[in-house]
Amino acid sequence: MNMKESSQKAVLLLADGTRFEGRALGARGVAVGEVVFHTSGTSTHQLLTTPACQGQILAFTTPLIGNCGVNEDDAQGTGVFAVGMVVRECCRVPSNFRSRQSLPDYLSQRGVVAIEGVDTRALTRHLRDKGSCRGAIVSGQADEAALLRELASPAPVPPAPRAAQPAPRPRREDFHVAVLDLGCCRDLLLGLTLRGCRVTLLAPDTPFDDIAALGPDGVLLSDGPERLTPTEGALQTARALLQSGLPLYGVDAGHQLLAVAAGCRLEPLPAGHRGPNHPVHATGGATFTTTQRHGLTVVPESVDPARAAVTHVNRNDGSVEGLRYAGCPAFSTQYLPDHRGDSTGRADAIGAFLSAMAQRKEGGLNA
Amino acid sequence: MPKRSDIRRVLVIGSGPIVIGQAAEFDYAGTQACKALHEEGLEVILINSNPATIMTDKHMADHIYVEPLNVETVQRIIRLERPDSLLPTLGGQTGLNLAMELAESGFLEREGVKLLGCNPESIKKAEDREAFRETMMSIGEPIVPSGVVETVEDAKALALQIGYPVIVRPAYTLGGTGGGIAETPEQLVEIAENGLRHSRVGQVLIERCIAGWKEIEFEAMRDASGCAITICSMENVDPVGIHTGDSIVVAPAQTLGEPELSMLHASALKIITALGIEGGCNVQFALDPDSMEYALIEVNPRLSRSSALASKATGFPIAKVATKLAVGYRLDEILNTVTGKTYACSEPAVDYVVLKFPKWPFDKFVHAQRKLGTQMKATGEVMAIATSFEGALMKSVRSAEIGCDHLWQKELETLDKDALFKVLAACDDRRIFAIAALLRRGVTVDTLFSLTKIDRFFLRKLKGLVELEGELAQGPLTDELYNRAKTFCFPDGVIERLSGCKVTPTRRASFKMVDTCAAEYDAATPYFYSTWDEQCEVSPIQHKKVLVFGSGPIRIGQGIEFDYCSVHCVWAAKRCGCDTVIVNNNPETVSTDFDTADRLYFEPLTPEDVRAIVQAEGITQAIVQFGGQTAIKLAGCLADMGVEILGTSADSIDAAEDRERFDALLKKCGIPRPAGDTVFTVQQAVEAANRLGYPVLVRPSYVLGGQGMAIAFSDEDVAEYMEIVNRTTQEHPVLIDKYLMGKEVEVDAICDGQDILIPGIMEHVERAGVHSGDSISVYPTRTISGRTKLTMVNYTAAIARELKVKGLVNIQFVVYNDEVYIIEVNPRSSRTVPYISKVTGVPMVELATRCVLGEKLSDMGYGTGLYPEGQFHAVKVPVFSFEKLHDLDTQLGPEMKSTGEVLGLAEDYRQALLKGITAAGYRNRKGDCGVLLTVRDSDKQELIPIADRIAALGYELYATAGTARLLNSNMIATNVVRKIGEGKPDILDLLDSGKIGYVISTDTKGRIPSLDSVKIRRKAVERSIPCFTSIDTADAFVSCLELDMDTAELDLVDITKL
Repeated sequence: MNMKESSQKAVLLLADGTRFEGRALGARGVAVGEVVFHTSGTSTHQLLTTPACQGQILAFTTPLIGNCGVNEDDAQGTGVFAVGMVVRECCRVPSNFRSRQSLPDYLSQRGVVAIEGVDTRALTRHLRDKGSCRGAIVSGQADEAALLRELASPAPVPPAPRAAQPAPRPRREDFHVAVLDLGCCRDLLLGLTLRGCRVTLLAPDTPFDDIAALGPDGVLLSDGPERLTPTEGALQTARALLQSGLPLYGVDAGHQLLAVAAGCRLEPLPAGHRGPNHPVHATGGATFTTTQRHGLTVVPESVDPARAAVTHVNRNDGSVEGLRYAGCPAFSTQYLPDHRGDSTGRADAIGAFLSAMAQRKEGGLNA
Repeated sequence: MPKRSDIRRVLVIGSGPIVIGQAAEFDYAGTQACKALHEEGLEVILINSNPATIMTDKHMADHIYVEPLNVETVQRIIRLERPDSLLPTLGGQTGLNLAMELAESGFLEREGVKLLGCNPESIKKAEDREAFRETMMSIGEPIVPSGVVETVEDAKALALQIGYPVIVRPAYTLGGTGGGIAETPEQLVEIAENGLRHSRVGQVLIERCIAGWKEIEFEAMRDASGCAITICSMENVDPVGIHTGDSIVVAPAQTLGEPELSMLHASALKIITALGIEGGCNVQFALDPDSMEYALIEVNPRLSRSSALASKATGFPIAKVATKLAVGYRLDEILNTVTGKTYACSEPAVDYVVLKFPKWPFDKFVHAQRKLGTQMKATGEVMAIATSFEGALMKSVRSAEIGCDHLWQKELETLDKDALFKVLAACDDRRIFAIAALLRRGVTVDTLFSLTKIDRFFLRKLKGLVELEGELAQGPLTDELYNRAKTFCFPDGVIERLSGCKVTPTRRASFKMVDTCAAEYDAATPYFYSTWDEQCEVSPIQHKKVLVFGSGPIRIGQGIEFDYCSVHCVWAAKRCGCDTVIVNNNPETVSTDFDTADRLYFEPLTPEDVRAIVQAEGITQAIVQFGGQTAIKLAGCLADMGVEILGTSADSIDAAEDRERFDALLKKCGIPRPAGDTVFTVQQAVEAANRLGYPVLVRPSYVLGGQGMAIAFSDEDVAEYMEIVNRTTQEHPVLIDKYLMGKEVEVDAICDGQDILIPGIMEHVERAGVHSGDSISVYPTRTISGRTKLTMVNYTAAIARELKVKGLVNIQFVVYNDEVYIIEVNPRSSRTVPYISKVTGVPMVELATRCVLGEKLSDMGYGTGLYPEGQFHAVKVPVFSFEKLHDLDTQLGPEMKSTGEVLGLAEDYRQALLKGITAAGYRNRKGDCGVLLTVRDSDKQELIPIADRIAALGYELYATAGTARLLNSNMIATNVVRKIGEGKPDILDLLDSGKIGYVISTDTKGRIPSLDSVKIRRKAVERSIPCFTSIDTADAFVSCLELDMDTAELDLVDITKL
C-alpha cells in the first residue's frame, strides 16, 4: 500500500512540550499515557496486549514494525492494555504464515491510537536522557495547549488489571500453583502449565487463609503494571506468604510486591528496562540474557540482610534483579522467566520454583 | 574468570591469499585479534602468506612470518618460536584446517601448545558432516536428511533414497567449492566427482534440497563459564539455494515473527553450548516459510564473513571479544567500549536496517557463468545502514559500483517481459534488477514470489520503490514526494533524472550513531550512518581534521591492499596530530572498524553521500590517493565542494588520466611512450589500430585492474572489445596503443613535491601484456641494468615533479630493445605498496601521508632517490579463484584476473620464487607425471628449451600434433595427443586420465568458452592441474623445479627483523 493513503498527520506530544510529528496510524483520536521505549522488535502485539503495559504509549526502537502481522494466539491478555504506539514504519501488508491480520487493521479495530514516521531514535534519546514521561498521541484535531496542561498533572493510577485469560489446563499435573494475579501475562501461565502445573488464578489481595485452604504446592506472584501501588491487602497476603513456608516465586511486579513485603523500598530507574536483551548476573554464578519491562527497581540499600538477600544483579547498571527471602523457600526475579525454559539451562527460574515445590512435596511425604 | 595465567606466547594463523570465499574479513579479524592479544600483554607470533594484509605489519605482532601456509611450515615455526598457545579461529577455514591437522596428528600436544577458543572435538563436531549430524541429533536439533559418501556410486544410491533434487556439499572446503544442486543422476555424477576431488578428506555430503526455504543466520558467542549470547540475526533475501555469500542479506531478520525468532535464537545458543565453543560461532538455518519447521544448514565454529558483517552491523567487535574469550575472559568481564557502560554479555539492539549486497566479478568476466548457486562467486561485498529496508537497498546498490544508482540496469530495461523472465530463471547476479524491471512491466508480487521464493515482504518493498519511481516520473515533484524519496535514500541525481526537475536541496542528510544498544545508553561511538531525519547526532570535530576514503567493495583489481593504504594513512595522520574521518562501505575491512579512524561513516562513496558528511563535519581537507580508483573518482567533486585535496591535486590526477594531457606531459619531460590514439567509436578504433600496426592494446580510460583491457591482433578483435567496453556506461574515451612485448617494470615512489624516494623497483617475470596484478613480481630487479634503472629513477623524478605529486605515485615501464617507455602513471597508492613497504622496511604510506600533510622527505630519515636494495629477494605470486568461476578463461592477459597474492621471501631469488609458488598452491611433482604443452605459434621457439628442461627433470611430455612435431624434431621426445574433435581419446580425456601434472597453454586469444584452448584450460582447473598461460611463468616455474629443494629446507624469515 502506498503511503499517501495514510498521510494524515499525527503528533506525539510530550509533557515537557517536545513534539514529534508523524503520520496517523490505527484509530484516530487522542491517546494519553506514559511514553516508554522498548528495544524488542518482534513482540509488538504481545506487548500491546500485556496487562503490564497498561496505560503506556509504547515506542519501539526497531524501525520496521508489524512485518509479521498479528495472530491472536500471541495475545498476552484479553484486549489491548497499552493506550498508544509510536513507530518509525508500520507494515501494512504482513508476510508470515501465522499472520491473521495486519497490525494497522488490528490497531484500528481495537481503537488504539498510534503514530508512525517518527524519528524513534530521537524520541528514545529524549526519554533516555529525561526519563519516561507522560505524553499524548494526537491523531486528528485536538487542543494541544489543553492537552499539555493535562499532561502536566500527575497521571491517575488506573485500577489493577487482571489476567482475564483463563489458565490453560496442563497435560499432566505435577503441582498445583496458586497465582496471585497482578496482571499476569499469558506466557507466564503457559510456562507453568507446560511444565505440569495446574494454576488457580487469585486476586492479589486474597487473604492468606483462603489461599492456604486451596492447598497449593506453591504460590506465584505474577507480573503486572509498572506503576503498581500494592494495596494493604496484597501486602498483608505477601507478608503472610513469606511466613508460611510455602514455595514462593515473585515475578516482575510480584517480585516488587514480595520485596516491599520484606521491607525493601522501590525507586525509579533512570530510563527503565524494557527489552529482550538485559544481562543478569547471578551472584557468584552465571550471566544470562533476560527479557524485562519495568521502570521501578528495588533499592539495594533497603534490602535487610535478616529478611532477604540479593541473588541477581543487572550486569550493566548493577540494579537488583533477584532476591531470596530468609527462612522460607521464596525467591523473586525482576526479569521475566523464559516460559519455554532457557535453552542453555542457565536462567530457568521456573525450574527453580518447580524444584522448590518438589522438595517440599518430598519433605511432606518423608514427614 | 580473568585472563588465564598459562598463556604467554600465542601463535595466530592468518587465512592466506584473498580468494573467493575467503577475503578481507580475515584481515579484519586477525588484526583485531593481534591488537587484543597485545592489549593483554601477550607475545604474538603470526604466520600469513598474504603480504597485502594489515595484520602482517611489523607492529601488529612480535614475530611475523610471511611464509607458505602449510603444515610443515607451521610446525617449523612452532619449533622455532615455541609458542604455548595457538589461536586457530580467526584465520578462516585455512587457519582452522591447519590447526586441526596439527592437533589431530598430536603435534600440538607433543610440543606443549594449547588450542585456544575451541578444542579439536568441538571443531570436528561442527565441521565433519557425520559428527555434526550425530551431535545435532543428540541434542534434538533438526538437520536436513542427508548422508556422507566417498564414492560416486554411493552418492547415487543415497540420492535415490533421499529423493531428487539433492545438494552436494564437499567436506572441509570454503565458499562451497565443488558443490552444487543435482536434479538428475547425470548431474549428480558430475557434481559429486568434482566435489570429491575438492574435499580435503575425500567426502561429500548429499542432502535433501530445501531450496526455497528461508535462510537465516545467527552469530553467537560463548565464554568458558557457559554464558552465551547472540550478536544478531541475519536473513538472506535470496532463499536457500543461493550461497549466503552471494545472497543479499538483511539484518536483523525481517520476516520472522517472535515465535520463529525465539525458536532459532534458543537453538543457536543450544548449539554453541553443545559444541563447547569459547568464542564466536555462526549458525545457518533453513526455515520453512509455511510452518515452524526448521533445519540446520551449517555451523561455522570460527569467525567468518558473516561474523564480520554482524560485527559491522551492530558495532559489536566480535573478533576482539572472541580473542579475549579465548584467553580466558568471560563475556560479563569485557566492557563494551562502544557504550563504556555495558558489558559484552549484552546482546546488541539494532535500531536501523542493515543490508549486505555482494560484489560479483561478472562486469569484468563477461564470459564467465553468472548463475548463482551453492558455490560462492562474489569477490566482495558492500553494506549499507538506513532506517528502512528501501533506504539500505538504495544505498548498497550505489555503493557496489556496478554502474547503477537505483534499481535500474540499462541492459535489462531494454528487454521484453519474456526475456526478463529468462534472466530471472537463470538466477544470476542480475536477479534483483530483473525483478525491478518486471515489476515496472506490471508483473505481480505473487508471480515473482512463485518464481523466486523471495519473501513477499521484500518483493513488496521492491514494488514500493518502483512505484515511488513512477510517482517521481509522473510529477509534480512536491516537497512531500521529494522528502519521501530522500527517506528511502534516493540520490538527488536519480530524483532529477526521473522527475525531470532540477533539485535544489535545502538540507542534507543527517547522521545517526551505531551504538549496539538502540540509544538505550548514552554511547560515544564515532560510528555513523545517514538518514533523512532532522535530528543529527554528529557534532563536528573541533580539532584539525582530514577526510580519508576507503576503497569500497573488494573486487578484482582493487583489493585489500587499498584498505591497507587507507588504514595506514589514518594512523599516520593521527601520529601527525590530525584527526581523521573515514568513509567506506565495506564490512570486511579494518578501515570500517570504529576504532581505526576518529570518526567512521558507513556510507556509499558517491559525491552526494560524501557531500553530506563534508557538511556535517565541516570538512575542509581531504586525502584521496589511498582509497584506490574509488576515492580518486571523488577528487573532482570534492574540489567543487571547496574541499582542499591534500597531496597530489585533482588537476594532476586528471593530467595523468587524460590521454592528451598525459601525452603533452611526457613530451615536455622528454619521455617516450608507446604510440597511441584516443577513440570513441569502433570505426575510429579500427583506423587507429591499422595506423599503429597490430598488435595493439585497447582499454578504456579511467579504469582499474585493466577492466575491459585487451590485446587485439585483428580488426575483428578491436570490434569485439569495443563492444564489451561500451556495454557499461562510457563517459570517457577508449585508448588504443601500440603493444610492445618487452620487460615490464614497476615503480612506487613517494614524492614531497620536490624530492622523490623510490623504496624499490620491481621487475615482472611475465613480459608486458600480462596485467601487472597477474604477473609474478620480483624485488629487487634481476635483469635490469643499472643504467636502465637510473633512467627510470630520472623519469620518475621528472614526472613526479611535473605532476607536482605529493604522496604516492605508481609508474609502469616497459623496457623494449633497451629503451625505457612509460605505459602508465597512477598518482595514487597501488597494489604493490604493502608488499614493498614490508620487504624494504620503508613505511611508504606513512611517509606519503606526511608528505601530503606538508613534511619534507629530507626530514624523514629515509633519504631520497632510489633506496638501497636489501639482501632479501621478494617474489609476489598472484593467486586466482578460477575454480569458482565457471567458463572463465584462465589465459592471462592485460585484464586482471587474480583475486589475491602471496609473497616468497629468501636470500636467493629462486628460493624466494619457490616459496611464493608453494604458497600460491603449486606442488613439485618431482617428475612423477606428464606435462601437456600446447602453445601459440609465436611461443613455439621459446618453448623448445623449456620443454627440454622439463624432460630433463624426468617428466613425460605430451603435445598436440604441431607442437609435438617441433619438439620431436628438436630431439625432445614428446607424445602426440589428439585435439578435441579429432577422435577419442583426445586431449580432454588425457587431462581426465590423471596422467598430467602441469599444463602449459598459451593462446593468441581466449575468452570465449567454446574455444578448444579455453576448454582445455577449464578442464585443467576442474582437475586442479596447474596451468601456465605464459611462457615466462612456465620458465620461472621450471627453474623452481630445477632447484630441487623443498620449502622445508629453506630458512624462515621473520619480517620484523628485516
